[in-house]
Amino acid sequence: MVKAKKKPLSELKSVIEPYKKVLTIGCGGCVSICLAGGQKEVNVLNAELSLEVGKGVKIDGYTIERQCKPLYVDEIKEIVQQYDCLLSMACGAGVQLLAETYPQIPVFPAVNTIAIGIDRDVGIYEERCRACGDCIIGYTGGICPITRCAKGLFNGPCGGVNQGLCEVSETVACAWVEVYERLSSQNRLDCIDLIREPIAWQNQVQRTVIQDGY
Amino acid sequence: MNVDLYELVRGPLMSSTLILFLVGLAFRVFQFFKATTRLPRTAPPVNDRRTVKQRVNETIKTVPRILRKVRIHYRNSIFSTTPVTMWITVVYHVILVLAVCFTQGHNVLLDLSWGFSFPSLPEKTMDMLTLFMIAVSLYYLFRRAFSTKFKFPHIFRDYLAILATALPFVTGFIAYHQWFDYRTMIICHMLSGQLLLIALLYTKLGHTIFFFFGRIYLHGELNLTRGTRAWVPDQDLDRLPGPVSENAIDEHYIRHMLDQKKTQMKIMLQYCSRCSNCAKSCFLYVNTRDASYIPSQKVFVSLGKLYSTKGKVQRQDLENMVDSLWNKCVLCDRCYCPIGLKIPEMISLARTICRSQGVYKTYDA
Repeated sequence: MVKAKKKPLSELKSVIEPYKKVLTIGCGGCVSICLAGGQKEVNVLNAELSLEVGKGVKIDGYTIERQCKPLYVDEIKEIVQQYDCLLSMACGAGVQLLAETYPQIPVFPAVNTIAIGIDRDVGIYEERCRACGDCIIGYTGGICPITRCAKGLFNGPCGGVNQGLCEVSETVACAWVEVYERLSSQNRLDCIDLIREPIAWQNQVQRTVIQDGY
Repeated sequence: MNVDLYELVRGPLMSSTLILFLVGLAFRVFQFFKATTRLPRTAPPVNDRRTVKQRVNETIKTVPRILRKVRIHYRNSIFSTTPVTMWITVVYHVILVLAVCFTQGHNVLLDLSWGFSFPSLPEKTMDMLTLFMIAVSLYYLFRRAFSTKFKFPHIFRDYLAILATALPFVTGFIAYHQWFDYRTMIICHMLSGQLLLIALLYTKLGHTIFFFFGRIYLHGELNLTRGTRAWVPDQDLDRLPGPVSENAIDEHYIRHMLDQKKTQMKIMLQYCSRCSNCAKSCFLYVNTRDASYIPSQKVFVSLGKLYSTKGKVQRQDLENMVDSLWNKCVLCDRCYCPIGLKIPEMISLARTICRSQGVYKTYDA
């Protein structure tokens, strides 16, 4: 799911400096699972901020089930009116819905939304998807070249591969070598020979998903 | 004595029951519309310049595609996963209405009292349908007693609901065949029928009526029509929970949260007939086959408990709910209720109440 990381405390402190009443709003969804913006993180952040800004500022916290769903965001409409600014610990989508729902109150993100990723261990998350909207990993042995290749190449590997490693760093494996090895172990090397058209990242407009009924 | 009682039950008691039923029904309808609001249209109307003939032709062309969709939908529905129970249930509810309106005896009485009547089904047919109803009631009782899906608390009420619905049919069947004392039996039949009418409004049997509101008016994924209404809270949450203490909990705040959505939640909790048909829509239940994963179970042990105790719970009670609310539910919003109850909304309210007291699941262990 969506992975996020808390912003540095100094940044958050400078953001809320002009305000006297701050409400930190957590989200019980993805950011809760990746330990970035759940109820526990709201409490921790508020405790940290209170120590930083001193006693004159009122900082409260509240966590809603999902910040990307209007039903849950609407629940606190009376409460948010009592605050000067909102600090949202949800992913980028959640922050935007909150800001859209309460346009008269400044809303600041308290986390940096990083990626769609997997849980390697508690507190360790790895990016696996950039939501490009045109999934090709069926032809690349289940390895996403957009995410894993430093150049995001659709056809690879490039000339920078050195003994299975990427030219940008000696610790980064070349995604396309992994693609080759996996396809070769599945006897599907013909897939790597297909030339794929470049993805149309440019001129991209905001995407809206409308599921077909079934 | 019996003559007087018969006249009393047939005359004034029947009229007052009907009046009570109609008034109650009007109240329920009013309550529903008061507790919901009309949703704004999300999609603007399309400027369609096709002629009627073109539209009809294009619709005819899409028929195979629609039929294919219906087939796929059917295969994924509870009619496919539990076909016997579902078809029996549909027929059972249809016969309930048929039996009230189209039985000869009822129509004769109607004609005598108010001078009008519905068409009647042949007596033999009605007799067979009554036997079918009694058999289905026995099936329901058996299923509830022995299926692992029905390990609910307060199960007595569920049996009572089935028996209350079966009673008019049993007494009517006996009276029609003139076994035992006819007059006593027919009085029992009328009394049990009147009881059922009242129960339709004030007990969980009201799900038969709520079905039409839940599946037609309420906006949802699996509506029978394009639902246009959604529940609105009775009042808004106007303050945040106080600081969390280790042992005590803030009963006032829990009460405030319960009152906030009281009407809709009480309606939904009351009308859940615990049919457990939501089970198959929960992927966690499908994976585990453990009755505690059934969506309605999760609601009853959490929100049901909060409402039945009016928020007077201990911290330990809330901590016991964590397992049902977080570990056994991911709030994926996909639970399906045949009556149209919003199970995710109930679970999210229970979660919010637990959160307000500092009871929630953390993911760092």
